[in-house]
Amino acid sequence: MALKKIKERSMALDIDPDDILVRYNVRLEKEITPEEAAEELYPDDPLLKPIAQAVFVGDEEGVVAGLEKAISEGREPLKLIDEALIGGMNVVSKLYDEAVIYLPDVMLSSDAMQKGIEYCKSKATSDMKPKGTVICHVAEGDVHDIGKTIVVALLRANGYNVVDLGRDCPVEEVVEHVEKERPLMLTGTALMTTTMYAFKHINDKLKEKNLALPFVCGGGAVNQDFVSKLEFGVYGEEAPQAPRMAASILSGATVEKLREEFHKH
Amino acid sequence: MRGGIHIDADTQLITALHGEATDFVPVTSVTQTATLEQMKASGAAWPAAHTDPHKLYMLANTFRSLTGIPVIRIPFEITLEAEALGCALNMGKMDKTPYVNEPVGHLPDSVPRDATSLGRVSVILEALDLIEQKVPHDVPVVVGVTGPFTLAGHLAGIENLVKWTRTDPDTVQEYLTLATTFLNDYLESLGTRSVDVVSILEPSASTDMISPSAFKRFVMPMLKELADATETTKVLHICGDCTPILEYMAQSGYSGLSVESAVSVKKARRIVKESVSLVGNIDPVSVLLQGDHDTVAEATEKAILEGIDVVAPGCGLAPATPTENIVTMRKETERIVNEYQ
Amino acid sequence: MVKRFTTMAYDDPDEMTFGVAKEPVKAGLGLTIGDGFTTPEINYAPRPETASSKEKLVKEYKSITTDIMDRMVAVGFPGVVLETEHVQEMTNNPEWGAAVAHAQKEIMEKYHDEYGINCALRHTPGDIREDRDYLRLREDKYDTLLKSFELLAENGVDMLSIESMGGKEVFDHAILRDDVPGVLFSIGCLGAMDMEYIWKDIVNIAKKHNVVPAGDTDCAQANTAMFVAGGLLDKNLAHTLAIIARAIAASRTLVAWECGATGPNKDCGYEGTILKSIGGRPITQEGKTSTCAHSDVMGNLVMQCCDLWSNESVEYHGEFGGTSVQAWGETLAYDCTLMNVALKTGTEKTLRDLFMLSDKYRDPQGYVLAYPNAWKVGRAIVEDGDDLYLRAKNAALETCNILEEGVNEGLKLTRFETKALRDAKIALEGLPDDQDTFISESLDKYKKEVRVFEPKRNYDL
Repeated sequence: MALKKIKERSMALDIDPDDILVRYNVRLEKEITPEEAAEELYPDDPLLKPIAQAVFVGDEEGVVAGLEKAISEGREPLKLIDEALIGGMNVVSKLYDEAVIYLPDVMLSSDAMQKGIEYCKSKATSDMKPKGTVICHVAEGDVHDIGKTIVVALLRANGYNVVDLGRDCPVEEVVEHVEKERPLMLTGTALMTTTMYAFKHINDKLKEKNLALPFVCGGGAVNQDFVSKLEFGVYGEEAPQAPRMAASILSGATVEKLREEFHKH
Repeated sequence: MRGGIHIDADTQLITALHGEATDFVPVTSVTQTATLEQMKASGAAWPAAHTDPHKLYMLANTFRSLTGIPVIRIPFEITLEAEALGCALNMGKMDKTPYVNEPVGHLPDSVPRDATSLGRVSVILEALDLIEQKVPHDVPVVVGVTGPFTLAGHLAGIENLVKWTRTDPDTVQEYLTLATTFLNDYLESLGTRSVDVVSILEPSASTDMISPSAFKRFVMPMLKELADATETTKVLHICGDCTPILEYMAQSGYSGLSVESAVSVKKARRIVKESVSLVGNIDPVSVLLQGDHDTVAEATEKAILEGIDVVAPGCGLAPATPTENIVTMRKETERIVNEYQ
Repeated sequence: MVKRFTTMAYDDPDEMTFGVAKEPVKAGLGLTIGDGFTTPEINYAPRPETASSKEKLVKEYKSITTDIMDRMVAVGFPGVVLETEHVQEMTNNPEWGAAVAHAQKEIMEKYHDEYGINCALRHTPGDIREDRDYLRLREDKYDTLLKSFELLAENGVDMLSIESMGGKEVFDHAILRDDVPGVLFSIGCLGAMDMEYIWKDIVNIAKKHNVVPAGDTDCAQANTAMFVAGGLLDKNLAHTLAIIARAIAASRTLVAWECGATGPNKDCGYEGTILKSIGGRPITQEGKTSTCAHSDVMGNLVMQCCDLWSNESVEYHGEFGGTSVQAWGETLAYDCTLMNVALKTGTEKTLRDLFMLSDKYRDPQGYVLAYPNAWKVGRAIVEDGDDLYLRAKNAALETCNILEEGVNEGLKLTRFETKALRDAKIALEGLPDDQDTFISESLDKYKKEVRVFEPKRNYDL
């Protein structure tokens, strides 16, 4: 290690705790499998639990089979979306948040949930009324759309109609869609520092056209300072905030309010 | 400089990367170095500098002349390997790096025999020849090479590859094997030029994308294979908070690990002990792009006091990064090192 | 007069060690505390059946005192402090406590005269200011309490202490609900206000009789938090919250010193290191030697800066090696000998760091109380030293920051602890910037939620 003196100063007498003690509570938690961690979080209802479980493990067929059974026993298909599918996805987001499971698991669960939502809709006698529309995109020039994929999945899971503009989406196209759809909110994600300036262009164009709406920006390259300088910008640090922000907007929150509520730094 | 004996910049860097330095901390970059100011100063801009060996050399050399940091680091992107294997690229703009338009979407049948003939590999080799001719030999030459998982992600589509780590491990293996075979050839051809450090960039293998156990199972063996295949000093760069996989990274055969500011150097040191050197971890966005003199000075001092072996940006520079901030990073490093000598 | 601390006694945490305080305290028969030496402080409880009469109690304490003094001399220890924590009867009947004190001191004087052993007697009356479910902090029981202090000072006690319990009614409610603002209100505001009320009087009594007004500790709250938090596997209360409560307690316990108490404070709230960093006065600490009273996740660490080293409390009974007070007293005294060797050989900083590193990473509580971090909490307190609310809030927030940073330094937290910490920080950051708003909001809230909370009667609020 470089700079011996610095080392001496900065590493004054210290010890690697693993050499002298065991945090058994931490160890036990580490040893818990994702399945065990999830077990405590599933709904108790014996008809709902297998569906939530199938969502958790990303078993599309299992999801449909579980839904089929629940519907055959008289459950309302649209209610099952909320209670079983979103219930299962909530377990996924919680454990993802706690780093018990990782992105691939979330993606597989999200696929399974989507499959379930489609199935429920096909069985529903009445239409499900979406809570509102949200437009999601990845900044122009950025092809890293995994963050956006999670945001979309979570928004849909919470009953929002999502217009997904995909990755590397040109500024103009985003603005056009906002003009056409007049959504509750717009989200943009960027993983690369080179691409986040697209958000500024979008913000300016929206202003020019008098299309005021909360513009939630997030992703690896983006930070709160940058977003706060945008007129409509709200910084989203983690994907699970997206549906909570949408809910706040539905209950009247402005850009200012959203910043108060969600800006952490 | 110490005790009147001049130590070359390349010797300093190599010594520090091998964990043998005891009284200095070099400053360098193992990730993308080009900025708009450099493009303006050199007349060599993106995207042309990705395809023209002379412009590539010019732009890389301008980082050195503008910032005073003794390093030539090429290229500026991580797609040339994917292009060589058949992916179509969008070459980006002046402030936007090239990216893969569409993944190949299927497994290429095999790796063509002569890797040097593929895509822009020859551009890199020619640029290295120019560097050899024109740049003093004590300036370390660092070549960035896309890591096997990231390359496989370009080929298969990263979303697919990530999901397959759960559902279809065999296919993941196939893509990785193919990527690694190509990279071995590519590294071999780099070995014919004068390269001081190879920096393997593996952004898609970060913990944001795959689990630590998937990293250990799929990525680590490939990284090891690459490390074993080349004698050149090697650095492994993974983005994000790679703390959970540091242990595996350290066992993969690289002299240095390049980490972002999301990784605490102190904590990293506890995990890797003295087995590898740590490179980084000055935040390219909040510090180098958005920060001022004090922000940069503070981050640099923190990194050094926490025990970083080589000061460098924690990840590729954003094109709009002001030269001034990069210079501050260098000057602060020199100041602190002098203070402690 | 209350003189708030707005600066630190120590500019650099590295200056702090065991056995040395900036303002040493002379007490009792030949003892100076904090002038380069550590001394054991033995604490004991009489067997329950002896509390039935004054005579039985006096007899019990005579045996205890004789046993301890005997053993100290038998093994060659140069000094000792005896601490008598009252059973309720001794405070409710002030003359009982006084009789015990008188009897104890006579024995100690005899040993001092005969062998030259330095010694001092501390008494800690029980905080009797309650009536069934209700606190009665300022009424007739308060007069009884002061009477007890008065008589103790007249009857040979050298150091006066109490573990005052203002704020406990709100604390008990808040801690079980992970309500960090409630903990802040109960300890940081109510507790501190009550301490100011009671300690001005204790200091006056001590001055009148030329004895030492020593100090307090947040037994009723910080120690309760630690007790509820329990061991590593207990999940009643996240240890990250327990340490927030203790950090807030430092802001509270400091009030005794601000009212003129001189140290050594008492031990069971574990806030001593923080107090010492601010006030530079001697502290008593307890750790591995208080396992007779409760389990501990920082048994060595707390020795790092102690001046008196205590065992919290042990019931008087027989052991294979003598009576319990002899066994625990001897253990304490040997620990002190080790520290004193370090002090005399100039190796005290190394030993201090060994104590500290033994438990720094064992638990979030120990991590924050490790002296470099405890010092940081102290600094956060004095930053707004004039404002009881703000300084307690500072202490709580600094604790959150220290723990967050600690995760990078080698401290491992469970998800349970991490989540509690995150929630606590969010709650703290959402609190108002001024004391009046916070107090009035809290009054509204807890008057509704806590049936037994009587702010006017107990705190004049």
